[in-house]
Amino acid sequence: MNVTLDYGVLAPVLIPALGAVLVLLVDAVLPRLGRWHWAIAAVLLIAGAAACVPAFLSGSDARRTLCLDATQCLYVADRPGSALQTATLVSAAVVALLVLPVRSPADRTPIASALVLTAASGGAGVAAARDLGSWLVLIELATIPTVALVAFRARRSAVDGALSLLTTSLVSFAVLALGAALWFAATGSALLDGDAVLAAAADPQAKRVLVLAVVLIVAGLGFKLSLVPFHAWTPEAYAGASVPIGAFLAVTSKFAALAALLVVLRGVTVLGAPALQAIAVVAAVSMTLGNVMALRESSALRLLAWSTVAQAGWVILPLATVARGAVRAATGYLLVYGLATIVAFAVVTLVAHAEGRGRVVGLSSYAGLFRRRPLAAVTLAVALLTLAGLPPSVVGLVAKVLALRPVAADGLWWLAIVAAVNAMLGLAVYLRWMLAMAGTPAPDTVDDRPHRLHLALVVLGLLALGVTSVAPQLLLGLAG
Amino acid sequence: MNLGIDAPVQPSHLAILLPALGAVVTLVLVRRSSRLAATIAMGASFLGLFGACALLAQQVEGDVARSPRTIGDLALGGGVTAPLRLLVDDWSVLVCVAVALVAFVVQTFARWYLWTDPRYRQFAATVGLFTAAMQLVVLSGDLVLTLVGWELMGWCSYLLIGHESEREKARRAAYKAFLVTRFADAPLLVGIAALAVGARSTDIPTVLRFWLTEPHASATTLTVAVLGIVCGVLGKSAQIPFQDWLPDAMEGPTPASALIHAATMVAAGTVVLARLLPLVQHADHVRLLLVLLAGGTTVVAALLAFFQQDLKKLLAWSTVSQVGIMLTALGVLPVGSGPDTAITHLIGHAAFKALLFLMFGWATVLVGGTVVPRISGVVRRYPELRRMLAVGFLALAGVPPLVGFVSKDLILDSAAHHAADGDGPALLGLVLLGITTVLTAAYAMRAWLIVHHSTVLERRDDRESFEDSYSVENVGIVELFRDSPQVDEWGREIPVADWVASADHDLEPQPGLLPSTGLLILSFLSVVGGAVVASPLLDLDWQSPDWLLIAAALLLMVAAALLVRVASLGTTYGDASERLPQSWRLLASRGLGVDDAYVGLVVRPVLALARTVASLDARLDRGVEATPGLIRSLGDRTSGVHTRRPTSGLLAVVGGVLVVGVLGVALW
Repeated sequence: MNVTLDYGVLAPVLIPALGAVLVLLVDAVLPRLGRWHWAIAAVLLIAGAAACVPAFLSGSDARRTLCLDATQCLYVADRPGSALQTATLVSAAVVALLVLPVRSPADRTPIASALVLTAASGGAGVAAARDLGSWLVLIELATIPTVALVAFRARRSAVDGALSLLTTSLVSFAVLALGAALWFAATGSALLDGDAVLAAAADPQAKRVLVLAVVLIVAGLGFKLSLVPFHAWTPEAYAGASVPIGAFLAVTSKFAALAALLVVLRGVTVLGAPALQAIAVVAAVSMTLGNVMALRESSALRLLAWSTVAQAGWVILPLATVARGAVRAATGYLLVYGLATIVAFAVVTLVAHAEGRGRVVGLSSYAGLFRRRPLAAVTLAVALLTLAGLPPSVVGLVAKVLALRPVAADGLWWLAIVAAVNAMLGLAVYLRWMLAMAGTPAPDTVDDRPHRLHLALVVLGLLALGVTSVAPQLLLGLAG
Repeated sequence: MNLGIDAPVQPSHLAILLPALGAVVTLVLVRRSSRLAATIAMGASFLGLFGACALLAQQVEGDVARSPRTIGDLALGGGVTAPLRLLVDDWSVLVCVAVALVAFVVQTFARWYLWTDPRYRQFAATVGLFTAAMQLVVLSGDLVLTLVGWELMGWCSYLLIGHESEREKARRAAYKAFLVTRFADAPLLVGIAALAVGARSTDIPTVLRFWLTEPHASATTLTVAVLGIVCGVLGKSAQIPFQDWLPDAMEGPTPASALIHAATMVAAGTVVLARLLPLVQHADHVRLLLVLLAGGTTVVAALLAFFQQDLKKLLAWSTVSQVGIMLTALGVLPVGSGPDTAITHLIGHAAFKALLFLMFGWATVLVGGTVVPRISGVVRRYPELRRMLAVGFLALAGVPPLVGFVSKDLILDSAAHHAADGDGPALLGLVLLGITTVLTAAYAMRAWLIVHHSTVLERRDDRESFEDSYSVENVGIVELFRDSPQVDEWGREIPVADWVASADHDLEPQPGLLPSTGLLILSFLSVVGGAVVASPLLDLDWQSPDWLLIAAALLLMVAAALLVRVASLGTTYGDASERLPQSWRLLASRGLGVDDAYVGLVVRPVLALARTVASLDARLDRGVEATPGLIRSLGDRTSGVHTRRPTSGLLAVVGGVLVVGVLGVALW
């Protein structure tokens, strides 16, 4: 069998993976390098992201490699896949830069940065995987390191969060493996797309098994996307982990999860709409529960976790339809969510680094942020407005409209109404935080200067949000 | 002589824009000085008149720009083009000059009449804007422009009628005028939209061409559209069933009434309908309806005019009647003929009605009101009013050779000709107009007899009893002394004739040079304005009048006048209607109680609907206000499930897998 191999196409996966090894090697040679490992990781991740750029320049053609013959390729990076790869790597790089100034035991730094690189590599790979085996391995590669990253903070709450994450991920992996097995049983092929799916769909017996496989896969990935009812780990892990790692869970992990889901669903949409009802129900429940819980949450980190749950519902909302552009809408929405969320986490990291973690956990401790740190507060406000989908953050609004359009086009009115009600609830969630930022600062304010790197990242985030609000197609256009 | 101007700005633009510019400049620049406001307003109005005259000269010479551009195409979308061009033709130029002239005279008169009004500035500006809006309607060649001018006029009339907004009655009248005309405008909008969408253009010539020549243009659509337009026109022109706003509009200052009644607002309906006349002639049912309603209005309004106890209201009802004559004239024309008869009447009416209103304004200044007891005998005491009032009433009555006679006779003539050809609506129109001619002569005679009444003694007795009914502090003590009969040193009354003669007329307020000249011009035009039919701008067959018809009409008018004269003998104020039952007069004063009908049929249901909606809204509001609590309790309940232990999370995952699996398999 003759397998083609194109390192240029594989580079987004290979660079971080080899980078993880490199970081460990460098640590062996120069043991006192400390936090500079994060810088190396960030550079490698950016390099990986840069390797994706040709995908956006080469028109609409998917980039393929590891091809068995003219049609069957094991690695296919199409436009949304490439967008998610890029987003995964860039967000991981931002997380690495956010972690960089944080003091931590020197011996943990190389391991933590290697874990971030590994997880990013898994996330980038799963977007392009086209066979069951590598798909399963890569998704675990993207998941398992996060458990360790959460546990690294070594507080009681961090361990609790890591435990919750670990147990849920194990069960979910079991469900995923079961789904993969059923898939193989139904199609008789280890490939995720192609004629085997069509053949299985034509046979009623096989089709039933295939449906069960798809549903189990959705359930298994629901954990990673923080969809209700697979979400219970989310607030625990966010509250337990250090703030930048929370950003990793909230953003990078989600990119990987959606990429994995898209790989499966893209092959299945040929089957028809009704099974996607399960996705519709999950989406509706997720956004409702996420918003309702966020409304009564008093901790900012947990609020962000519930916001993730609610937004995950929005992300898979278009996938409940077979309308054209559903994949593009879901990807576009996730990109906007990821940008806004990582900016919000960057601001929280900045404040936490300058004033101590205790100053960012409770919503009430944000009082007076507009006067205390106007730049950070404005950035956070814009990020929250984007998540709420409220102008002047036009991009958030456009993303919501984009996500609703396939639903309306398919005539799923009950879902559209639930989504509209949740858009309103979401507004209350984020405006609540913004309201908390107004007012006068508490008298015992620690007014240290923020770290320059954090400040630069926050300014960059504000610029990115501003630019995308003026020209939303810059971000949404990445998805195709 | 070549008067054509090869420039983007044509005299037609000036006639429209200058009054509006004057209004804007007045509002923007002038803060307190009434003198400056008056200068600007009158200057702008005069320049507008100059523009209109230039346009007339161009038209006569044939050098006019037929369809000047305005602001360029309007992007309407939907394949409908809106070129927004003006349209200048023979009759629109004549109307334009008449409007400009009346507006100028009204501006000059208003300066004198509202000398002490603190809000003269706003008044002058509104009059300017009003004039501009009317000129826009007159010269418009595009349905959109017509609509703009039309609505602007509605808004300006609201401002003018409600000028004395501290008075409840003025406010109500302004609201009423606005609401009634807006109500009637709704079908107009639908009609215009239907016409424009069908023709894929709002350009009037294009619209006419499409609906008249296109073989597959739907006749039903055309009928409905024309019906809508006629409805809007009936509203603006105060015809049945919308007639009741106009008499109430007398709450506005007299110059405003002169403007609204003579040249703008009510005449706008005639102008628009004249512009779209071919469509009306094409839709036969609508034409019948138009003749029926407008013709009926002329008769009813003339009857009501006869009964009014306030002569200003008499004039208002006479306007309703006269505008009805114009609209009937449009309805009785045979297919293919132009609206020239109606336009002649419009121009003549503009002259004599403006004259009458302004003269009544003058009389109001002199005697403090226009109710019959006050104004009775006014020309005896102030002879300077006599000549112009007489001209006005003679023109109104249609006495030859004044303008009222000429235009009315031409209308009767055209109706008779068309009726002779066997046209039903024309016959109906002829009958109704014939009745109106007689009634008009009757109420004009009655009004003249009242202002000309001479039994001072009886009048004084009555005034005493009238003024005794007030409490002492309400009696104007100075006025009481001034109006009391003069006595000599022995307390004997000086004979009445001497008293009238000895009244010091130099102290009486009198219009200045400009307003007086304006009134003179108007009365001159009222006398000789009929000559306009001989102008090349109007296509009228005036050389072969139907002498029999004229003689019959005149005979009937004379009979009616004599009857009124006889009836007025021996009454307190020379008021012929005193012979008729009191209840009739009261009913007529209330406009046959149509106001109550408006309230009962439209206002109450609308208010009831509004209340229902408001209560529904309040209920919805309560529901919305209850949601935060609902959400909170929901949150409390779900947070109970989240124990923060891994086990409950795992349980949820397992349950979720089961539910999703069942859901997926069951629904596929």
